[in-house]
Amino acid sequence: MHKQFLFINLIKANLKRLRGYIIPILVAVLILLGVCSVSGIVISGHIYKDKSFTTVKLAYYLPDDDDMKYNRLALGMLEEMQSIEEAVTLMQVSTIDEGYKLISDGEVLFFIIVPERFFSGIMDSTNPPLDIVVKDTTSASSHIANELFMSYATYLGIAQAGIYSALDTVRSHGLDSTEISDIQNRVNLIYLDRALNKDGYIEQKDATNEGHLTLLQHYIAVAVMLSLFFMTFIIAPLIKDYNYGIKELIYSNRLNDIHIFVCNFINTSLSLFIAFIPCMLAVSIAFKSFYALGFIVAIPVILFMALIINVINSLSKNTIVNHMTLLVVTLILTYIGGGILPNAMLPEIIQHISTFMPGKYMISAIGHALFGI
Amino acid sequence: MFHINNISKSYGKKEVLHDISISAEGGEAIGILGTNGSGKSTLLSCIARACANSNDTKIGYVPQDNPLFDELKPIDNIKMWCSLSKSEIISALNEPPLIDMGINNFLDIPVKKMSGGMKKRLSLATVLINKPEVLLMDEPFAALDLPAKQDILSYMHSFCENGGTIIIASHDEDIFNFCNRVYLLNNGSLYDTAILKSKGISYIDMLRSNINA
Repeated sequence: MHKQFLFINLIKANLKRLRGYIIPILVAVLILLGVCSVSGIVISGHIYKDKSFTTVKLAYYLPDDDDMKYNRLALGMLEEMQSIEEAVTLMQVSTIDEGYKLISDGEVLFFIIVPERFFSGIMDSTNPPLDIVVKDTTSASSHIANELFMSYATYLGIAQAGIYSALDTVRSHGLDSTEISDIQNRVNLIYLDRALNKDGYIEQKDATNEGHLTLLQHYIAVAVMLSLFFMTFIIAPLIKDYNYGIKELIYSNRLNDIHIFVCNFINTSLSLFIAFIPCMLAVSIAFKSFYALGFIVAIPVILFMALIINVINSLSKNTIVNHMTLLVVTLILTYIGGGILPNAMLPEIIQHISTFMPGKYMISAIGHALFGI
Repeated sequence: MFHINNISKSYGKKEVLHDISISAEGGEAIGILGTNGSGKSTLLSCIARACANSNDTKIGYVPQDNPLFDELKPIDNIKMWCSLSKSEIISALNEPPLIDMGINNFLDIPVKKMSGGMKKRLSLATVLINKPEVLLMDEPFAALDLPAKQDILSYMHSFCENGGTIIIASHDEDIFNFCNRVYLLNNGSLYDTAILKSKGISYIDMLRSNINA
């Protein structure tokens, strides 16, 4: 028998074998599609923003003066500052020397020395200045610290007092107007914006969409990709496990492992394409739109998936190893491709890796195939 | 006449077959005797591949495992291994020698529901459909009951009577009754069992490799 005939017969025979599994395959694909889609929709509804805080460490010294009522109020205010936002970490020191040591060790950015009767002075409008110590520019840093007070402690009505105290602090160091202006400019440029704008402390990661796809579309594409990958758990034994007798006859008819690989690749590609059709139709019905060109757009992804599946098939010694490897590869591809968490939510290093991995582009291409080019 | 020369095969450093040559006339049956793992299947596999590459002789190879897809119908299984259309296969099944195998009687039974004897007959049919001149059969009686074994033997007789050559690899003693010549495969080489018998070496001893050839 000519090997060309046998090659074609092998493809035909495998397709006939798959025909017997078409109902379970379609049911499995649709169930997987449903489960993955619902999971994706739930995830996309909840995870779309993340906040990471830049913490500023401050130390403060609060004297035991005669007005403990205000001191308790001040402590409450400071604690409140910490609890409102995690942008500032406050550390109370018991002595001024301890605060200086923290500054010199680089443990804190600022050391705020609260003078005696400071809080009662604010309340009676005498506004005693805070002494703010930093390693580099004392006056500039005092400005920031006071702005912080202003930002967080408005309920005490001391915002203005904070600003005054900052200016007083600057003046108390005997700087001239040029130096003060220079310091203020630097403060504005470097720190003030962050101090006045709380959001400046917060790096927002916006993941309301993924490329040109909305997050919902993105997760539907992920669901389709996972459904197709997991479908191969059903067809993998069919396209790999020829018994010894069949293999012997294939080899004795001058076909080799490369022929078998190509044959399996063609069979897998066709199976994936057949399984993609109900996915496409299900999405079209759910979103009331149909993009016929999507079938063409999906072809490169399906071919690539078939290639991955068959390489794993060829390298795996048995079905269990095959399934486990396929599962691990699928999950890695999906995670790095932004299929579990949106790309923007992934760690920065993973985002860089993602650029060079196929998962991201596979999901994107399926998304475009499903929702239009 | 079938002739094959100098077959050698090694797995890594282990030489399984060492410079084996076999020749047989038309109508002749050659038996290859040996224990499990002695290299009988490897020998038949090598002969099949060598003949397929040379294109000199039309070979039909029936491996020990039935080369059948469980999910396919018998007709599709036969079609897999030939270039005939379904109608051509059906008419071939209704003509000698395939009609004697009674494949027509179980064309509607899925392969996975067939008995061992049916599967072996179907396997034989997938090979005979290509009208081979030489039939290579690897353990043709393995896991068959007596009636099925007799059936297969009768097809083999019929094949030889029609001028075909059969090379059988087996550890079944019955091949002594069927084959014109039986060789023992031991340590990669073939030994003529007729000579061994003349030296008083029993069948069991041959299989136990207790030969002092």
